[in-house]
Amino acid sequence: MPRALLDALVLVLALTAALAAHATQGAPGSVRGSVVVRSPVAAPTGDLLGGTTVPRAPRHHREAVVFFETPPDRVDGLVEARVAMRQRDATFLPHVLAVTAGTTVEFPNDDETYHNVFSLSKPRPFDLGRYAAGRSKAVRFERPGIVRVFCDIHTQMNAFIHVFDHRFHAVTDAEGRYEIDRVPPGTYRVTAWYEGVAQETKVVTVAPGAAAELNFALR
Amino acid sequence: MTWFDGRLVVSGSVSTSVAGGGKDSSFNAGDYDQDTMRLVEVAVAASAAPHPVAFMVADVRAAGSYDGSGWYLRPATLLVGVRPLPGRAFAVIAGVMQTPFAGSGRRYYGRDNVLVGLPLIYQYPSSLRPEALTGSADTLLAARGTGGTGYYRYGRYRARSGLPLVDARGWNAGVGVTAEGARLRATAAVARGSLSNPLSRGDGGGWQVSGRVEGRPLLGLVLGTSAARGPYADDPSPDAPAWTAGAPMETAFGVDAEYSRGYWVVRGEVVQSRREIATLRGPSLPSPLRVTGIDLEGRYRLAPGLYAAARLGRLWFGPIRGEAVGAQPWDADVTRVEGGIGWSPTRPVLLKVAYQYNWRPDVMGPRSLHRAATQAVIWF
Repeated sequence: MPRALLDALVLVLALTAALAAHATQGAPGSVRGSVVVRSPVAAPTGDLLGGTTVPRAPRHHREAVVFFETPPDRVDGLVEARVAMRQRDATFLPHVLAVTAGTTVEFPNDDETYHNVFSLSKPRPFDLGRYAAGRSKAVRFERPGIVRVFCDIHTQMNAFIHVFDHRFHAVTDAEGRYEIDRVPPGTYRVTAWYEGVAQETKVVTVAPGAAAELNFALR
Repeated sequence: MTWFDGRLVVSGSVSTSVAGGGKDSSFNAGDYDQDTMRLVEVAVAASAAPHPVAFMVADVRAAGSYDGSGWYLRPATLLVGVRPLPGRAFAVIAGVMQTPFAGSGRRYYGRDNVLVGLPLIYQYPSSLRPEALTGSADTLLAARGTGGTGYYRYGRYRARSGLPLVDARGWNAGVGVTAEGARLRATAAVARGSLSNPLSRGDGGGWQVSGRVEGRPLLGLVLGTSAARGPYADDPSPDAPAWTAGAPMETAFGVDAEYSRGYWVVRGEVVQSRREIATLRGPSLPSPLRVTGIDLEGRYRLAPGLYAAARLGRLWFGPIRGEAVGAQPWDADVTRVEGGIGWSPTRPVLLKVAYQYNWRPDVMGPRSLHRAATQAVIWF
């Protein structure tokens, strides 16, 4: 093989190896796992009988929020996104939302009765008044923090909206599992939060291109 | 708050009211001679459903007034119930319960009352007492505007106020049924005690029949109609030349309505009561004595946690004719207007400021009252 051709081949191989190494070193990974809530909070439910509220089979809230205390980067400005928190069977669905600052939350009324959604939380106080079934009103959340949401008519209705200035957050699913993807490699402090009554923080290291398993057990 | 996996629910509130001005002159007098604008009330309610068919409800209130009239503890509700039809909103209840009548009565204090004062229909003491009579139309007319605190010739004389049109804070013991559908709700009860005099001790075995039907024809609109009939007078003292026949009956009718939309809630109700007067061996009072009350109330939410509210109430008393004077209302017609602001700095706290003006021109005693008041409510 002529020497020039051999030198070119070595150069190509070296460049290819260098590119491959660089790509692997910065590849984002993910953090996933489960949050086990041993004693879930019972949401009071009841039937109004002749002016008296009588308890019936309770619902249990099991959703937890998992978020980075030390995110690798924060959102520059406000995002443009829309999600919904529905009013159905005198309950907010979902019970917990985790959104990035700038997200607009729709509050559609799926019930045949009035609800009056409001919050007095500092990050975003609001009051949507009473509106009919089938209609919806929206609120944009721009400041980070925890927003407690209530209904002025049905006192047992309540929900949480967590607003973050970064995108590294998730709410657990029905099985208690979560996943936060596109995480740059590094070491982070991650917190699992439940109903304002329990939380736990752990440290996790995310390797390039790998999924780090991180589990929590609360209450 | 919930326990036992949500099968026991406990709620309650603490309310404190402070009002300016001197003696109220019966405009805001309540049970046990308390000033209802200067009350401290503690209410605790619990409801439990230990079984899908059975449930229990307890609601106990303690209240005291700054003017030293003492504290009282009363059960507003103490009942057990059964839901015999699975999946249906139908129940049979037994125990101590509020009379199923009219609308606003359930919103009489604390968090459920948009202002500090109570609606005239549910609080204002007339000059008709349940256990004593003046003996003649002229002496009853002379007692107008006293709230029942004057001299009464016949019957047992206890230190308590005259009868309101409806006593929303009292309790009756009996049985009832309640049913609810998509657009209709109905409640009926047979209980001891009466609409205006729930604590009729020794009332000669009287039972009151009462009921309310509520319809919701449109979203945001509630229309109700109520009726009640029962004996209201207490047994007379054996020493008095007291009533000779039967237990005097009280019959009341009411209609109420509520409409809400957006940031507005408006309510109104009209109640009329007719009370038979016992036949005395001496001079008699005319019978029945009628009283009609109206209450209009509105609330507008100005901002999250902040609202403004106003209320207008009036009582008209039916005419009677005395020997010395011509036909006049048997008690002085009275009007009340009240307006105020309510603010919740945080969810379980409600602070109110209100101003109230009362007037009843046709009396010998105090004819008007200006009053400012504040109230703090903490609830859970």
